[in-house]
Amino acid sequence: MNNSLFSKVVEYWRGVYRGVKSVLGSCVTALPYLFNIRSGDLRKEVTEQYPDPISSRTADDLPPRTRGLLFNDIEKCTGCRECERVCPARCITVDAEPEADPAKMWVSVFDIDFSRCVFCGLCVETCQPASLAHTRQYEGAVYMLPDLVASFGRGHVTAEQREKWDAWRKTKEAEEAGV
Amino acid sequence: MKDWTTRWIGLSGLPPDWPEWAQVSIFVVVLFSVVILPVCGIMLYVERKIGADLQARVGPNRAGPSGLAQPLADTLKLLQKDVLPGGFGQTVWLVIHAITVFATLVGLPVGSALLLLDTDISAFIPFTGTLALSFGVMLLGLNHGSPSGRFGALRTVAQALAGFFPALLCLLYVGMWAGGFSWSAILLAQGASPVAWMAFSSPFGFMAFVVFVISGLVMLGLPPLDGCGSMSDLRGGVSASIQGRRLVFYRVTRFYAFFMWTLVAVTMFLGGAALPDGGAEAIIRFASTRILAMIEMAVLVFKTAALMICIQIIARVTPRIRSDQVTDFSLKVLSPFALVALAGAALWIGRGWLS
Repeated sequence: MNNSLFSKVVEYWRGVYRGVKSVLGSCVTALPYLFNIRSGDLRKEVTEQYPDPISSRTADDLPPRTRGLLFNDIEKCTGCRECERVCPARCITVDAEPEADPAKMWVSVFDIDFSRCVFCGLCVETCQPASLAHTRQYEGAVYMLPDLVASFGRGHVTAEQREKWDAWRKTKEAEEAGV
Repeated sequence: MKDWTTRWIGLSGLPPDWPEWAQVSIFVVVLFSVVILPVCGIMLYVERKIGADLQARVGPNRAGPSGLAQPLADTLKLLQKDVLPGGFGQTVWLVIHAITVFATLVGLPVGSALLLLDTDISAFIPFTGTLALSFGVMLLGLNHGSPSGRFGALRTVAQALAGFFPALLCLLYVGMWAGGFSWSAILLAQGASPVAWMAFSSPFGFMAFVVFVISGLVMLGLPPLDGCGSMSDLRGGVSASIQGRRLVFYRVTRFYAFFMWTLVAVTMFLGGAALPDGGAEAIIRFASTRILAMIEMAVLVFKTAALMICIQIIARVTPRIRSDQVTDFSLKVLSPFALVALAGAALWIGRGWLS
């Protein structure tokens, strides 16, 4: 039956009908857009002229869970490197060394390479001291690629500073021993 | 030559003692730069704006008020680019396209007062022009020297040949209906009212009209049937090796081919530049032949632009299909329908229903 002439003719006409119907159907779907007939959000023009008019979309209008550029509050950061470990894009570089108080860490390097960051938010979720957070800043365009690396570190400890800290710790230990 | 040139050289307003070849060349160049190029720019802008509207975008909006100067800006930008030497193939392509553009321009039916070349085979001139254009594009693709260019060239020619057959059948339909292939005979067979147009005078006419327009898209490789030049596996295809002024010329000729095809479709099926009965005589009596030529040209350009916009809307909402699907479609769907239209016209005329 499927190879008979009749079924081939029927199949041919069905194909022609489907073609005409699909072209007409897509025309009917698209024509309201042409005349800006707006019914519902889907048919509204959503393109904004981005840089020129200050857009209605300011930082305050953004949704509460917006994942913008990252910011690390280095005062709270403990240098635990959890964010560095969890980052799927490997865009975070952390280097930490003992502080004057050896129980704490001096976060000397905390670099986030936004050219690699995918803004997944895993680092923020895993951050125990809640020092790492998403800001509402979303305009990150720069002219040079190295400018996309954000550095939050305190810088490496110099040898002089290390000597000062050692001296301070020794005096403190001596005081504690004396008491 | 004297017979058909004198009529419209008189309308051009050039000094009559100039040599005939100079008058013809000047007139064709002026017609190209005063009519074709501005219409080309405007229609490109309109196409982009319509496409933007259909996709809920804004479209060109930087150059001039609401982007009106965008075609001009694009052209100026491309004109100031350095042109790399393109080799012998590109030279041949340039010559073929230039000859085709200016030669077919003479054969276009721009109204009854301005019928430039009205011979017995006038209606075939756009066909040969279209085939020559695709031949030039084929040389351009072969000159590219890469697999993508070669395949683009072969697909262009394959589409041109596949679209040629149904288009020719539709042309035969028109010739059979009008009793000749000269523009004046085709125009005479139609009137000003839509019922008298070839496309609406019979169901076969409408069929032939639709097939003719679609097969033109197939022949020229225009969207949405531009699989020969725009598929992603071609990486730019035949036009990848040209830039700057040559790219402007390539775009203009492609647009001109679209314009020419639509204008021929309007002339053959939608009444051309026909004014209401007695209108032409009244204008000649109260104004002049030159005014009549201008009015007819305006009517024709308006109809052509309307048809082009319809085609472009359909092209924007229809997905692009592969080149082999295009040729398949042309040979398996368009050709049978054109044959049916031709046979129907033969029956219709044979039974004497025309009168």
